[in-house]
Order: sequence, then structure tokens, then C-alpha cells
Amino acid sequence: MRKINSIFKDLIFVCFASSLVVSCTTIKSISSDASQDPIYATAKDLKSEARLDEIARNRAQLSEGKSYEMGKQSANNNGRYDYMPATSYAERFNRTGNGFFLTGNCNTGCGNSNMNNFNHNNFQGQRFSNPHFGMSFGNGFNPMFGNNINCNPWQSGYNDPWMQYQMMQNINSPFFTYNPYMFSFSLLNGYYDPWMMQYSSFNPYFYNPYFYNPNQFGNNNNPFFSTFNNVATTNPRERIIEQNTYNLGSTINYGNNKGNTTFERGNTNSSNTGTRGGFDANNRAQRSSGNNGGGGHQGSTKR
Amino acid sequence: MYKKSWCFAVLFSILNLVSAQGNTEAFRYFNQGIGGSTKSLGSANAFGAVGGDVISASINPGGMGMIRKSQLNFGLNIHSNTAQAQYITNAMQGDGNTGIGLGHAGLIVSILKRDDKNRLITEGLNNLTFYFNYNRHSDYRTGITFEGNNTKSSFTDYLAEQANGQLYTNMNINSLGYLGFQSYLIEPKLLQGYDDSFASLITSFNTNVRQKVIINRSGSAGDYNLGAAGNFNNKFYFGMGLIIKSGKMKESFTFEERDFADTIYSGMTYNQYLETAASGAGLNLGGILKLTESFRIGLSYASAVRLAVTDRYTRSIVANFDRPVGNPPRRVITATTPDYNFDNIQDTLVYKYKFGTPSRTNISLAYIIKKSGFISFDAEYFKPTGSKFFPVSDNYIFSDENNALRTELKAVWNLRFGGEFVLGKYRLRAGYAYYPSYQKSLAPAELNNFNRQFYTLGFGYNEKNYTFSAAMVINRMNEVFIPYQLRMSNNFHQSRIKNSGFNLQFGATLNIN
Repeated sequence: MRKINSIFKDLIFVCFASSLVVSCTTIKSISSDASQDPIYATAKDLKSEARLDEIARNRAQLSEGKSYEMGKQSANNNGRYDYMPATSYAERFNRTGNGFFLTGNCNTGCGNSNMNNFNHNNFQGQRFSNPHFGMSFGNGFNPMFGNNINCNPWQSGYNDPWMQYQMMQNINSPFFTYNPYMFSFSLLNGYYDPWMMQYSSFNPYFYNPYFYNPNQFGNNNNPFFSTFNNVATTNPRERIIEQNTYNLGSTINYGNNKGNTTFERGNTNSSNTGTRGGFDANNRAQRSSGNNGGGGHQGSTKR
Repeated sequence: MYKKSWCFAVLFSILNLVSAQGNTEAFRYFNQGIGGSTKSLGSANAFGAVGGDVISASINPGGMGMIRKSQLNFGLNIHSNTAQAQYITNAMQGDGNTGIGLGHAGLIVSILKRDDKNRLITEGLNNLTFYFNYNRHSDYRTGITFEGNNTKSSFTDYLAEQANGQLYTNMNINSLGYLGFQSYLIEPKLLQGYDDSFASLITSFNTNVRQKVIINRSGSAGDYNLGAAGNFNNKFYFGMGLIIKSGKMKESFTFEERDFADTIYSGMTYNQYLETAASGAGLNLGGILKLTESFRIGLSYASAVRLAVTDRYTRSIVANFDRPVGNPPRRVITATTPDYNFDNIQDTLVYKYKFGTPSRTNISLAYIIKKSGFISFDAEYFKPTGSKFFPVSDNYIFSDENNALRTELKAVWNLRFGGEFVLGKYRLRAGYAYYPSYQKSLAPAELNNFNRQFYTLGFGYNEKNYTFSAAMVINRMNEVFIPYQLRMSNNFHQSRIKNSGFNLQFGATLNIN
């Protein structure tokens, strides 16, 4: 009986202590509401507000493809910008600003001018149609697999391994060890080995630093055009350094702070011998496959 | 002249000491109560050093610098006043008046400063706030009724006094004396050889009349604030603005008299309807210094304001007689202020003047208990002797009235205490305000009766993009009302009135960015 009493006392004590802890935590958490109240806002709160505002602005700019920080976000010394929770690579891809030309979704048909990219008749005239050839290589994500014609897979998430995680784990690859997307574009176009980088100029998700084709999506449809407009509006000095560091063999000075640098550069590089700078040197495909040694997701870096 | 009859009107505090004329208005215009923003009302407006609320626009514009979000605000006020009045030997008699009005409304635009990289600045001058706001501070709504038997004088005696000095053949047709003459309640002393001296129709030495007064008032006064404020280094908040004082009051005043003596006189009813509007502009400025994150001091100054006042009024007397009088003989005779345009509707008479209200200085302290609440204290220095009347409609220079204001009033400190307790999204508020009487001639014990006291409670609910507040105010104020005072005999009766005010206000702010 005494023991039961003792247990009972202990139980009461634990209940009391835990409720005290919970209530203290609650009070602390609800008291933070007062930070929004101008009466109670401290200098620290205002600094915090400024930081949150900065983050929100950057994020908004990123999602609109207007961020002047875009070049920095992937750089090692600006790794903090890389933390962007995304439910899929497609979303991340859009947030970085480079997905703006891949708009539209399965329900919009061809209303969007970019949609013809996902019409098999417009995949450079080559529709992926050989299942043996395509699917036998790796377990890459083929966004056009199934009846997904006319859909923008980056918007719809259809067949997206990030949306359906089990897709990353199959008989060919029980552990996801590499970027599931890197094959997608090549597979779509019937080329099986992206590492060879042949035809990589058609793959917007794979950066080949030695090859630049401004018209890879057709004339006057350069997806990097807008990106460079924005890049050039900011700290040109820093950009020059970065570009010079990473763009191998580049002799072209495009850091002249002109609004249409890309256009100018595109013209001068029509011989395909210059560098392709739309994704800057820290291109996501390169980093994920190189820096992370296959151990991380594409586009992410260590924080 | 209308002003000459103003001693009929309500006399706040001890107005038997001063010449009644004009002080009614004076007290009305500088006698600010508490009000405005619902949030601050819950804490008795003790927001001088607290800041961060729209009431700061009126009390200490520096506090507006703490507001960093553009917002709209609106508040609705329900005011109820109960007056217990005692007259001559009669017992207390109750009356009341309830109504609804605008408590506060306005727009605040806050601009956060950014650097060349578009980042928010947190040092130096880091935000500017522009505001246009209305804060109500006084409510005139009340209803007063009292009656009693008067054996010393009749209202007709007062009418005679008012008529004295005017030739009965050439009277001012706007004057009260003329109304008395036209209604046969007074007669010139022609038999005694005076044509400019009048006597009541009650010729007996024994007066025995029953008098009843009914007053109904509505209207309010408040400040329109237009200005700008800033935040320097999150330490010093400063602001400056234009303060436009505006007040309106409507009053119906009825004085009834019934004669018990066996004379020709049966009784009379005097009605006066008044609408008065006052407005004027001044400046206010102030600052709040955060000595630490917890301790704040505030200092603000509101300049003197010269109010332009317009009184619009009508008056009438209905006289009743036991037997027909006049030509043609009638038992009921009505006399009204004139109808100049002959449209058979009594014209509204207008009298304009100006009144300079004195400046106010507010010193305040606040202690912020982390994010759990605050306690605050405001002390407002106010010197009513600096107020003054100025003529507009005529060349009457108000020398007696101004002299009375200067010599018989004293400077006071209005004190306000307030606090708030934060409970997550909820706020609980309470406050107390003490506004002492301006009179200086009475013994302190008597003066205590005329101090004003406000007890407040408030509740708030804060969401990220809106807040909702409710406040309740109970106030106590005593006053003395003298329906009329005879100059010759210095004979008067006064009514002692105990006012109990009850305010309920609901308000909301909505962030718009």
C-alpha cells in the first residue's frame, strides 16, 4: 500500500512538473505574440523583422526569377541561400528562377507558348519511344513517361520521384544515389548517357560548361536571357570575379554592367566556343554530381 | 444679446463664484475627458510614454513613431450619462441620456527605411509614420431634470432684470427681456415714471412657484490629428503634427414655472434650443526616450488653440394666465425670437466668438515588463487661466468673463495611471484618471466634490493583421447648476448634480501592408 502511495505521489509529481513545463513553454510561446505589438517591440525584434524581411524578399525574388543573388546562391561562400525547402526538384528549379520558361501544366493544353516543349512533336522531332532503350538505363525520372504528353512535368509533378518517393527505389537502384533527373532530358530525347554530354545543349537541367547554344530552344527563345538581364544589374565586379573563376577559358568580358549582356554575349558566341553562363559556374547539375559525390540531392549544398 | 443670457446654461463646477456668462463655454472647451483609441481607453489614456497606439497622435505624437505597419482604425462609442439632481429642498431626481458615436478613426501610413540593397534599416532613422486620425475626448451627452418650490423668486423676476436698461418702446427683439415683455410676463414701471425699468407681473411680496428644469444634451468633442513621427535608433521616438480641435453640442433647455399664488399669473415655459460648434487648430509635438528596453519617458506639448465658436439658437416663451391679457386678450401667449424673413418659421439666431484654450504639457513614464505588460503614468499640466474669450460677432470684449477666468481658476495636474497585461493574443487593461477641479477659491474639502475621476477596464485581442479592443469607462463628476441668478438681490438657488457616466467602446485596427 505504501508503495502504491509512493507511486501515486510520484505520478502526481510528474504530472505537476510536466504541466508546469508545458504551461511555461506555452506562456513563453504565446508571449512571443507581443513581438508584433509595437508597444513591446524591442530593438532586437526590429532586427529580427529586418532579417525576416530580407529573407522573404530574397525568396520572392528567387521565385520570380529576378534575384540578383541568383549567382551567389550556389556559390560556396553564399551557401545560406541554398536552403530552400522544396517539395520537388521542379519547385526548386522554379525557385531558382530558371524554370520560368517551363510554365504551364497538364490542364492548360497548349495555351502557353512554352508548352510546345513538352509536345513530343517538338522535342527536337525526337519522341522517346523505345522503352527498352530508355528505361533500361538507370532509374532516371522520365517526366514524359506515360500519357503525359503536353504536360509540363516540372509543374505537374507527374512521375516526379520527389513527389512519389518510392519511385526512387526500385530494382535497379534500391538506394537513391544520384540525381534522378539528370537522365530525364536525355531519355526523352533518346540519348542514354548524359555523362557523355553529347547533345547536352538540349538539356536545360544539365550544364555543360564547354558548350553554349543560345538558340537551343529555338530562335529568340533563350531561357537565360531574362536571367542575365537581372544578373547584370547588380554588383558587376563580384560577378566578374566569379565568372572568371569558373568559366574556363572564357575571354569574354560580359561584366560591363549592361542590361542586355546576355544578348550581346549570345551574339558573340554563336560559334559555340564560349562559355555558357546562364547557370553560373555553380550549376546545380555539376555540383550535385561533382561536389556531393552522388550523396546528395541535386542542387543542394552543405549548409 | 445671446451672451447676456448665458447664465441660464449649465455651469460646470462652482459657477456661482464667477460671472456665469461665458464660463460655461470655457469649461466645456477646455474640460477634456479621456477617450479616443479603444486600446488606450482601457488604460485610462495613460499612453504618453507607452506609444505605439493612435492615441499618441493626441497625447504624445512621438509614440506614433513606434507604429511600423500601415493601418486603419475605427472605434464606436456608446455613452450613457445618468444625472442625479437636487434642487432647493427637493430630493434627488434622476435622468439620463444614452447615445452612440464615433470614438476614433483614422489612417496611419508607415514607411520603413531601406538601404541601397533594399534591406530594412534598423539603426538611425529607420521608420517614418504619417497619420491622420480622429480621437474623441469628450462627450456632452446627458439628461438632467430637477424641480422644486421656490418661495424667493420667480423666473419672471429674472426676465425683468434682463429687460432693464432698455426702453420698452425700443427693445432688442433678440433679447430675452423682449420675449418676457412680449409675453406679458413683465411690465415697464411706467407708473413709477420709468420707461426702461421692468417688473414681474407677480406684484405680491410672497412668491410661491414650482420650478422645473429639463436639459438634454448631445454631442462630443475630439481632436483631428495630422502629422508625422519617426523612430531614431529604436531609442528615441519623435513626432509633430497639426491638432485640429473640433466640438459640437446640441442642447435643449426647458424651464417651467407654475404659480401657486392667487394672481393673474398661472405659469410659463421657457424653451431654448442651442447648437454650438467650435473648431480651431494648433500644433503638438512630443518625444519618447527608451532609457532601457523597459523604461520609457515621454514629454509632449500641445500648443494653445484659438477656437472659432458659432452658437445657433432659438428661444421661446409660452406664458399662461388665469384670465385673458393682452390685445387681443388671450390666456396663453407665445413669444419667440424673430422671423426676419417672414416665412412663419422662427429664425435661427447666430452668435460668433472665439475662445483661446491654453496649452497642455504632458510628462509621462512607462515601465514595460518584458513582453508581459506595462504600467504607465501620465501627468498633464494645464493652466486654464491662460484661456480667453475674443469677440467676433460684436464688440463685446468679454472683460468680466476673461477676468474671472484669470483670477478664479488655477493650474492643475491631470493624472492618469494605466496598465496592460499580455496573455498571449489577449490583453487585459485597467486604468484610473484623476482630473482635479480648476477652482481655486474654495476650501479643499469642497473642491474635492468637483474633481473628476475615471475608472477604466479594457480587453484586447491581437492577431498579426488586426486587433480588436473593447473598453469600459466609468466616470464620476459633480456639478452645480444655477438656472438663473438675480443680480439685484443676489438671490439664487442652485441644483447639485451628480453625474455618473458610463462609456462602452469597441474598436479595431486593420493592418494594410
